[in-house]
Amino acid sequence: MKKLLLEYANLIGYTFTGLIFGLAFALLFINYNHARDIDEIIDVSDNLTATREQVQAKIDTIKANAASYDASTYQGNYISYDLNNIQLRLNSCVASFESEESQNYLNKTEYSLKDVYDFGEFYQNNILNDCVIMQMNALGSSDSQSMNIPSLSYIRPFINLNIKKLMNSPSYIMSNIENADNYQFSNNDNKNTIFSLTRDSYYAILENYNTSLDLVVEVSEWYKNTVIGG
Amino acid sequence: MMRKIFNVLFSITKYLLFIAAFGITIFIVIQINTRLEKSFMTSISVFIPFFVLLLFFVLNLVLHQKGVTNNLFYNITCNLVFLVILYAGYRAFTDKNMVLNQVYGYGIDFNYFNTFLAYCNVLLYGLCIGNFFFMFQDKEKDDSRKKN
Repeated sequence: MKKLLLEYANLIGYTFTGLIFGLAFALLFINYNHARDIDEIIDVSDNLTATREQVQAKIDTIKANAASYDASTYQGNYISYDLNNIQLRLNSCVASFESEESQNYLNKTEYSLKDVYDFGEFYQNNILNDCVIMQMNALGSSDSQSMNIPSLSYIRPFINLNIKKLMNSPSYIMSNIENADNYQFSNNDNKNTIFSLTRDSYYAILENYNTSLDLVVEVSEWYKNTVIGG
Repeated sequence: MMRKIFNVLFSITKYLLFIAAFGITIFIVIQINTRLEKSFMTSISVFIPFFVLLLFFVLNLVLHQKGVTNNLFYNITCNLVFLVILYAGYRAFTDKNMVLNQVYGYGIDFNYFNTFLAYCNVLLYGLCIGNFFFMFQDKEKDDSRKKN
């Protein structure tokens, strides 16, 4: 009887040890594959030149539209203070898009997950906060006492809709990247055909960047028409 | 002969890796508590399996329990478990692609290691249970092994 119990004890001991051995090996492999997965570097040089040229063309358009108002020669009906105000806002946005940091991100050919996160942070702080929220949001607010331009009410819904869309998107992307430390990994087929965290996050942030730029372009077009028509 | 050599080797590395794994775990948990401004005593339950396993190791040595100390498979498993803990700690420190590593300014991805702690406890308790059952070695088997 005693021998039987000791054999059983031995068996249970080996069973538990075997399970722990299997779990430890599985954790080691999962960690190794996860480390390889998030170490992915994507090459974005294919569309880089076209993207850069597009962005520069839009910035040049905003600059030209903002420069359509000259306080010394303006003889229209609108208050100079309001037109000055909007011109300053547009120029402030141009400065954000033309900054050295922005150009560095647009010229970068390879992105790791950390680089995409830094790009997302730059976009949130410098483009979304400094330009879209601080400059464009005031134009979209109907409480604004200083904007006595009637046609602003027509463009306001467009501004507000775009701001709302832009504010929701980046936090989801950044949250996804921050949660990349969870134990998950994919294979090359899935990454190429379905979802790659690095690649898809990068292009999502770039799309937000372009959408922000498009918003400022539209506002600058409205501004130019207001100045010329006023 | 080879088995004996491997057993001695894995026995020694088992204790060394245990100390290293415990060290890295306690360091990271202290950093977590510092960031959250919590007392270290709130995390003491994380270290209970370490203390229990240490107690078992001490008993194995003091009582000369050959069923455990000469068990090559058990020693290899212990080494593997402590290596996994060390690898997780290493990644928490050095893997910059896990962006939370640098977000809070501590240079450690607390979220990642916190997730791993649950697995760590399971592995260590499993080793404790295995150790406990291997203690009950059949004396006749033990003596016949000695003769061989």
